[in-house]
Formats: sequence, C-alpha cells, structure tokens
Amino acid sequence: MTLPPLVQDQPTAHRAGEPTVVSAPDHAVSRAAIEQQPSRGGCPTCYVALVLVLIGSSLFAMWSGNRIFAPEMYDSATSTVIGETLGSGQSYAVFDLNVNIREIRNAQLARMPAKPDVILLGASHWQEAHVDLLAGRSFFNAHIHRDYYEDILGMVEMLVRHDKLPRHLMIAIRDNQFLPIGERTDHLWLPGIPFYREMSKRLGLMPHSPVDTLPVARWRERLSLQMLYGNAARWYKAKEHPHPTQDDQFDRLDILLSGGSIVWSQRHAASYTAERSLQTTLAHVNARRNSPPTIDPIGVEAIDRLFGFLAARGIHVVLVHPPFNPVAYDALKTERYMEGLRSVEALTRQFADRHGFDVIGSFDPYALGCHAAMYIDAEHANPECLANVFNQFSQLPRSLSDQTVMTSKPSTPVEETAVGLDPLPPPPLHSEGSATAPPVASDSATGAPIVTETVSQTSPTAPTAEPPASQIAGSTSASPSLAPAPPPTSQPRHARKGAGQVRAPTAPRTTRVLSTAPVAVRR
Amino acid sequence: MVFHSYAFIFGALPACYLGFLLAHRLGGWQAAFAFLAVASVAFYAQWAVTLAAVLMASVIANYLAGEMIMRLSNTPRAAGVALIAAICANIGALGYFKYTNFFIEIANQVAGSSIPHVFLLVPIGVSFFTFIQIGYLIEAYNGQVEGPGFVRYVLFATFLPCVTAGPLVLQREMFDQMKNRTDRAFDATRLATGGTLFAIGLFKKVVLADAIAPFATTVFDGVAAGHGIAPVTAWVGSICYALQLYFDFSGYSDMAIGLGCIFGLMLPLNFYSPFKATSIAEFWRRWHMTMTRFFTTYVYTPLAMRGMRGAMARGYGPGARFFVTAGLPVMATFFVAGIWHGAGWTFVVYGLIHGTAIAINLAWREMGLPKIPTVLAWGLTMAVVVSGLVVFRAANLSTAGTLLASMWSMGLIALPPTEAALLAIDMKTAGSMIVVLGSILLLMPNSQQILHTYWPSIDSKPESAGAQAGLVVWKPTLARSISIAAVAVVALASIGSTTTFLYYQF
Repeated sequence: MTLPPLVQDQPTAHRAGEPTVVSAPDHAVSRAAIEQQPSRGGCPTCYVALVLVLIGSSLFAMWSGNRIFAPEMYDSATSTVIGETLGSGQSYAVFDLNVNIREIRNAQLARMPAKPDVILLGASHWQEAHVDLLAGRSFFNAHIHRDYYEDILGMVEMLVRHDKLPRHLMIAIRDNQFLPIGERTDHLWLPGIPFYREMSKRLGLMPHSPVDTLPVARWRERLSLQMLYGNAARWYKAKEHPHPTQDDQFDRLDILLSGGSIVWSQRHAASYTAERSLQTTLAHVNARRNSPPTIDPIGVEAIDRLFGFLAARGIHVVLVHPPFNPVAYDALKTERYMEGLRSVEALTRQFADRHGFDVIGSFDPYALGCHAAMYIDAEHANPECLANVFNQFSQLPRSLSDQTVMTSKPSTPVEETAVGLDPLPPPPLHSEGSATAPPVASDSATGAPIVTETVSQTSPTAPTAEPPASQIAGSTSASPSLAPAPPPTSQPRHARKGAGQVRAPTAPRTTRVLSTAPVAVRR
Repeated sequence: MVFHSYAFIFGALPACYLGFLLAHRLGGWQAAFAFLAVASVAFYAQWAVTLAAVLMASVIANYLAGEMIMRLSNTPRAAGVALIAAICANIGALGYFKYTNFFIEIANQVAGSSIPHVFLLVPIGVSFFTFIQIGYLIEAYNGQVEGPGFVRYVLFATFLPCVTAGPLVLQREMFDQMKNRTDRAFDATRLATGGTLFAIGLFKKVVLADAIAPFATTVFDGVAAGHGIAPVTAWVGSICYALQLYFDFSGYSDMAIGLGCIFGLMLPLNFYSPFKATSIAEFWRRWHMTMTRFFTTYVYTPLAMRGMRGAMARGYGPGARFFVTAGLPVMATFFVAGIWHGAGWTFVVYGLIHGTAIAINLAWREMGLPKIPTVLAWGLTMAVVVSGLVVFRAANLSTAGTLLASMWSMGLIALPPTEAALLAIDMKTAGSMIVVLGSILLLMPNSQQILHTYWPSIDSKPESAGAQAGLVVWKPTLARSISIAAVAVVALASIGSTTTFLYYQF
C-alpha cells in the first residue's frame, strides 16, 4: 500500500518543468547555489555598476524634469519670483494651485513694502477671502494649503522675520489642525518645516525630529513618472504659461492675487457645479465619518506657547473656525467625527480664555448663514459665505477701536513663555452642553443663528455680530439648498488687488461670487 | 517600512548591505550573520518596538525549548512532552494574537452573548515566524538539528527578507548555509542576480499589482456595501483580484529571494507560474510553495501515515482506505491552511474548497479515470482557483456568496434585488489589464526561469527552466542592464502612496 501524495506525484523526484517541492527529510541544500557562482558570461560587476548609473541618471532626469515642468511647485527660485511679484503688488497666473505656497508666502512677506493691519493665517478654506471683505483696512490673506499647527508657527516666524506682525492676526483653526504627524496623509506641510523649526527655537520648544519631517513624500512625488508625464503634457499643451499679470481672470490659468486670495480660471470655475460639489462633499463625509480629528498634545503645547508669544507682543489675535458645507455638517453631526470636532472647538475656547483672544466663525454653517450653494465642496466656501465671518471680525470691540488692545489679563512675557506656562488642560473629548459649545450656535429647529457670542471673556460687554437679514433668511432653511450659486457680480479690479499693501479703503464691499470652484491643490 | 519604499530601497537596504560587508571584513561570516540578525530585528522593530519584543520573546522561548528538546533526546517521552508543550505554547500565542476576536465572535453567536471584541496589536508575520519555529522544534525532536547557537537561531527566525511574509524556510536550509562559509561576502554575481530579482519583484508589486488593485477593491467593497453586481463585473473583479494577489505576493517573494541572494543566504521558491497549472494539485505545487511544503510535511504526511496504519490494521477496502489515507488528511490539512491565513469563516471555507478540490483530484487519479483535455483541465482549475479566491478576499461569507452567485448564475437565475445600484467599473480598462497581465502570466517565463542561468534560489533548478525561458534569459550584460534599469526606474517612479503587501496581514 502506498501513501497518496498531497500535491506531489513523486515526493523525491522532480517532474520536468517544475521546481522541487520536497519534504524536509529529503531536502538537500545545494552548496553550489550558496557559494560563489562560476562565471556564465557577462560581467556582474560592470552590470551592477551600469544598472546603478542608469537608474541614478534616470531618476535625476525625472527629478529635474518635474522641476522644469512644474517650477511653481518644485523650484525655490521660481517660488521666490512669484512671491516677490505678489509682494510688489502684482498678481501671478499659474496653471493651478499646485504651488509651493509656503515659500511663496515667505518671499511675498519679505518683499511686501508695508505691514498690513490685519493678516489671516489659515488653510485653503480662506482662499477666496478677498481683501475687500475687510473694508477700511489693509488686509493680507496669508492662507496656505492644508495647514497644520506647525504651519501656524512657521507663518508667524515669517511674519516676525520680515517684521510683518500685524495689529490684528486672525488665526484659523480647522478640524485637523492638531492632527499628529503619524496620521497625516498629505505632505504639503513639509516645505514649511524650516520656518516651524525657527519659531520653535524662539519659543524654546523641541521641534519634531528631522526623521519625522523628512520630505520623503515630496521626493517620491518628484520621482513620479506619472507626475512627470502630467506636468510635461500640461506644459506643452498650454497656450499660456505662468506669468505675472494684472488681468482679472484667465480661461485656463488661476490667479494668485497680491492680497493673498485666488481667482479661479474660467475653466475651473465652470467645472465646479452643484452636482460636483455634492459628490465631493459626500465623498468627504464618507472619508471622515469614522475618523474624528485627533489632537496632538505636542501641537497643543506648541500653539499655547506661540499664543503666549503673540499675546506678549500685544497682538490682537482672533481665532477663527471655518464653516463646513451644510450638507457635510448635517451628515457628520451624528457621527464619531463630531466628537473630535467638538474637542477642537473646546480647545480653541480654552486657548482664547487663557490668552484673552477673541473667537469668531464656526464650523456650523447655519450659525453663519452659509448654505450649500456657497460651497465648491465640503469645506471651501465662496466669498459670500466668508464675508459673514469677516463681518464678525469687524464688529469685535478691539477691531472697531482699530488700536491694539491689550488683554485684560496681564500678558505673559516671552521670556516666561519660554520657561513654560502652566500646562493647558487637555480638551474634553466630548463637548458637554454649552460649556464647550462653539462660539456661534444655531437653533437646531430653525437653523437660524442664535446670539453670537464671539467675544472673549475679557470683553463681556461686546456687541454681538448679527448677520444681515438676507443671510439669516438663507440660513433658516433646515435642509441645505443645492441651488446653483448666484451669478457672479462684477467687481472693480481694484477691489481685489493690491491688498496686503497698505491701501485706502474703497467703496462699500460688493461680494464677489466667483464660482463654486475647486481646491485643486492636490492632484 | 516595506520593501517597496524609498526608505528601504535607498536607506535601509544600502545601509544594511554596507554594514554586512563591514561586519564580514571585521569578523568574518559569524560577525556578518550577527549583524544581519541585529539588522533583522531592528527592521522588524521599526513597525513597533512592542511587536519586536513579542518577536524576540517568541524567538528566545523557542530557542530554549529547542535546546531542552535536544537535551532530552535520550528520553523520547520527555522530549515528546516538551515538544507538545512548546507547540501548544506557540499555537496558543498565535491564537491569542490572531484568533481571540474570532473566538469571541463564535461565542457570541453560539451563546447569544455580547462580549466585546478585544483590541490587539497583531505582530506582522506572526503566522510565519511561529510556524517556521514550530518546524524547527519538530526537527529538533526528530534529531535533525545540530545546535545552531543563539545568534544563528535568531537570524533563522527573524531573517529580514522573510520575517514578515515568508518564504517559510526550513531550519536546515538556513543553518547549512551558515556553516563553514569561506566565500566572500561581496559577490558581484549574487548582487547582480539578487538585485535583478528584487527589481523584477518591485515591478510586479508597484506597477502590476497596484495597477489592477483598484478594480478588485471596487468590486469587493462595493458588494460588501450592498451593491448588486452583474455576472461579467463579478468575473472581472474576481479575476482582477486573483491577478492582484499573484503579482503582489509573488512580487514580494521575488524581492525576498533577491534580498536573500544579495546577503548570501538563498531562500526557497514560493511561486512558479501557478496560473499555468492544469490541475488543482499542480496549482498548489506552484502557489505559495513553502506553505504547501510546510503543511505537507507537518500536517498531511503524519495524518496520512496514521490513516494508512489504521487502514492496514483494519483491512479497509479501497474506498475507505482512500478516505482515511487521503480524503480526510487532505481536508484536515487545507482546513488548517485556511485558518492559518486568518481568523474568519471565509478562510475556513477557502481551505475546504481547496481541500475538496484536491480530494477529487486525487480520487480521480486513484480511480484511473480518463485524463481531461488540457484546455478543459486548465479552465476547471482556474475556475476553482478564482472562486476560492473570491471567498478568500470577501469581507464575509455573505459578500462571497453574492459574488459567486452572480458569477456562476451567469444571469440565468434572477438574484434578489438590492437597494443600491449595480456596481459599475471601467470595464474597458479592467478588461485590457486582465488581457495584458494574463498574457504575462501565461505566455512569459517566470522570474526564476528568466534568471535560470544564475539560479537565485536554494531549491534545485528544474531541468526545463532554460527551455521555458525562451529568449528572455538574463545575464549580466550591457543589453540586460539597460532593460533591467528600465524596469527598476519604472518601478521606482511608480511607488506612489505606499501600499502594504497583501500577505502582511497573515
């Protein structure tokens, strides 16, 4: 009787054309396979050397090619030129928003002739916040794409370095502002790391280790064949290439305005339909639903130290929450995500209380009178919606006084902050009623804004910001509207340009509805 | 850090190779092996130090157990007890990490309880490093192990190329290579051969597997989410997954074998053109070969031997004899192989599908039934393979059932309607990719055949490897350097957002 093999016809013999699959007792190691193999033609050393040279030169060609065809993203010299152009008051037309915005901002601030009165630090949520949203003031929108807490430190470092710390500094706190490095899936923040390190030094903080902030993801992008193909094809197909401009809008080029905001190309603007907005919003919701924003304690400490630094200099700091698309907000309201969002709100409130800062805006769009048609996706609102946030800023007592108002709390000298403040209590994971409620709440039944207590505890008598009637009307709709955005209103060019520069206020602001447009900052 | 990441390719690998050469220069092969052992543990620790602690605890415990078993060799009964205790401890640890939640789920279903799942950090490759050590213990019991020494044992159990997902090496394969080495550590031939195989594996993973993966993911995730699916889409999605898994895992295996070659420790083959198989038994001779070898040696053969003794003692007839010597052992073996892959009913069913298919295959041969024409045999084999992989990949049996029902009903049977819309994928692109990747599988020689002149594995080279390679034969020449550099560059330039190897989860 023989034992049927499991998968072998003959356990100890080879079948022609097949490898040996032997059982342990029958196995014999081939020493010839282990030890140095005899020559069988060719030159292995030459081969290895040649392969390495070919691989190296090919990768270098790709590295260079991506820089040549996308210099706004990968070439520091080009970023400097763009920044200086913007700093001198001109606009700059680019293929899209895939630019190294951090380096551009640095060059822009260096070149900027005068210190703006108000500067906004934030993410792409604010990309359409044009200078005319703050009538009567010189305003610079220093937003950057996908900012994290390191970016706030980095941007303040730029302001300090170029002596551009304004009297009023709006600092936007978004949902993922404090996301730990290990949880991030994007890499746009990496070019800002040198500035973050400098500010960390100023504040006596230990920055992230160089290993954690190696721009490997950017290297990978520069070595991407697909990216090279895309960049080269775009370059050769383009009728117009990036250049300084004074034009209002292009067919295929987006415009970086000197005031810091952007103007979409007609092609981009046309592509941002209500249907697309809904689709991208729902995709966003699905991606975030079970991924509540997490808070990195290292980031909390860093920002706390930075805020002490700013408070010590008498800067009027206003913390701002960007409003979500109502479709996204409603969909996420009952999800785990909202727990994290409430924690971010609570943390913001703690910062404000601790340093005597103001808080305006809200993640809740209904509180600001924003509706779905004002959004290009889940997070990016048009100027009409953003204007409501800026209205709140304008009505803050310290903004109205137009002077630097020292906080009622004694400011902590920077030397002390470097030694260390009392640790900030950890934010609660869940908001509990009004104690941790956002500064701007909405009536859950009607969606209408309730009293907006946007002022800090240091200004208990400050008036509330009351949205215009039209906004309230727009916000009373409990179900978000997906109606198309109102047609763009024409706007004099000077209303958008030359900001960031000290500029006399112009006529009453007319909100420019450019489009429902994309945040095509990542391909 | 995975093999197909810049951090590994441009950082860890060159650093490790230079350290290996330096260690060899300073202290010979023993120092080089000690360096490799430390580097392997460090490589593993970069995922999590706690996981490396688990790995090292397992390694130390098994080393000590092996030593004890060898010392007790004069008292077989005591050695046997020690062996069984050690195997139980290994299986217990594996069960704790991999199967706790599965057992909780079963308990909840049976008892109607609601015991919450436990959050456990599962060590990567726990199935692999546990099983190769179990193999070591068994061979120690059988007197086939010569005391390797702790450093060599650590290297055997944690060798960087295979600690995460195999190949499942045997102790003698490794220890024999570590004995009396007199060759140089730097060997341009090994470097060229291993580097070439690594480049081919990298290409398979990041260019081929990752390109076709989205189609499979869309189909399987879509059905799991409740979408309906048309038969053609179900077939396309399932074939895409089969191709993805093959190129992913065989790509990983090529990289591992290439790395072993570079460091002078040859590894066994893991894949040898499985989709050219014309029977399910042949498929398993070509697919995940080291796993097949392991289960054949340590599960099937002992069970079949026991069955044979019983059959002879009891004088069973042919049918009963076949059942106890082949049918039952095969089913048991593939049940274990299935559950080895993961905790879930899908893996159990996957194992049983293949166990049944092989039992039929063996019975067919045993009964002397006529040979099935090659094309038909190939079609039947692939039908079983693809269907089995549907169950393997599906999130649960319900998803697998929906897909299989759609695939095999061919639209002739009306399936229950779903609320969600029918899944749609880009059939033109998916179909084109199936044609291209399928052609590579069926018409091209495999990696080992291409490299047959410089055979990169510890397994013996099949005589026909050269003939099957045809014109696609690799040699370290100028022309080949250009083509391999092109393969490597395309692969390196395609490393996008790093995806992990599918078999890391096992």
